[in-house]
Amino acid sequence: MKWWRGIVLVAILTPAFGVVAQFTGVERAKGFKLPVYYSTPSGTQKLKSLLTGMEGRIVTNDIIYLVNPRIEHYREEDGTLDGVATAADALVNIQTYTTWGTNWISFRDAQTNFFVCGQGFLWQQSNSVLIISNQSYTSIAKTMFTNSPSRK
Amino acid sequence: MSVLLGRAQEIPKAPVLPKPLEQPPARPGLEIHAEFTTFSLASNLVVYTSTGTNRVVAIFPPAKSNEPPAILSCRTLTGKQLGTRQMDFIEAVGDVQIVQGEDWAVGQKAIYIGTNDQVVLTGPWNYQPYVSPRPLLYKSRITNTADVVIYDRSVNQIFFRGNHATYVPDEVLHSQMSTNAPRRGTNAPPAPSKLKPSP
Repeated sequence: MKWWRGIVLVAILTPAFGVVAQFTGVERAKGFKLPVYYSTPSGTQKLKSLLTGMEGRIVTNDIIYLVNPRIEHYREEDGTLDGVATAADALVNIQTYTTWGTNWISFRDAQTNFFVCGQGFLWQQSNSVLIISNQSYTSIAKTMFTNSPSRK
Repeated sequence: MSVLLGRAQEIPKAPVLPKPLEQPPARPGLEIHAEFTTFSLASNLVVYTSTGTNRVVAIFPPAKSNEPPAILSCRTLTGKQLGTRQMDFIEAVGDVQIVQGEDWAVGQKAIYIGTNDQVVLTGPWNYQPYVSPRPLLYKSRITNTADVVIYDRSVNQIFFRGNHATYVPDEVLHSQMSTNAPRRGTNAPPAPSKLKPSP
């Protein structure tokens, strides 16, 4: 009975939410991807952020449990990678485009000048906001907050 | 839909990792510790907050190797980056304390603006034993207070604006005046000032 459930789920999820995944059944989805695009006047799709997971398991209609989620954020100006966040696991609501978890998350920008980590997080994919709720730690490279050359 | 899906899956328990998957750089520049962090990637704005007795703590590395680091603590810290990824604007609000070695400054708000490379400290300090309606700056054993205390990093100078007052402790005053004291054990007048031009 499980095989037709999977087909129905893929058929519903894929066009409605942009979820691209290979479902092996109701319970698991390999290679989970949830992209969000910038709205452009020309109508061309410009990637804003991409949530991926090694494995996804359906919890409810809208909520999927992700193993090793990875969040990539891209700049609007040139489409280059802005930064990457990784965690051990997370839950994602594909209706509201929010991802949250109780484990550690770490974010590093593409230039590796900015690093932030903490335990417990909420990622709002639609407006690109990451909230860390406990033991937040940030490391910023020295070059980021010195406008003038260092005095010896 | 829920009928099709059947019973909800039990959420599998992932191992709670003692450390993040990625580690911070070995030689960090500025370090910030807080309870909560809100980071907007769209606007490059970061807001750090702490509640209760906890405080946001930012540790600035010293400019020179023989100097102690500058430690800033406050309730809320907001940082904004430029497109070039430089910190353009940092605002510390709520019981702001800046400590570097034996020197310190206190107030309610400190703002760093990257374009002019200045730190502006304002607001009162409400805690004993240094209750003050204006920010305080203690440097080299001398306390200064003014409506606005400005530290210009580009020229490494401190400026005071409005209701400026300086408090010099007795021992500092005496130690600075001792050069004009008469020589002990002699009837000779005090040593001539070094500023006096030689004949």
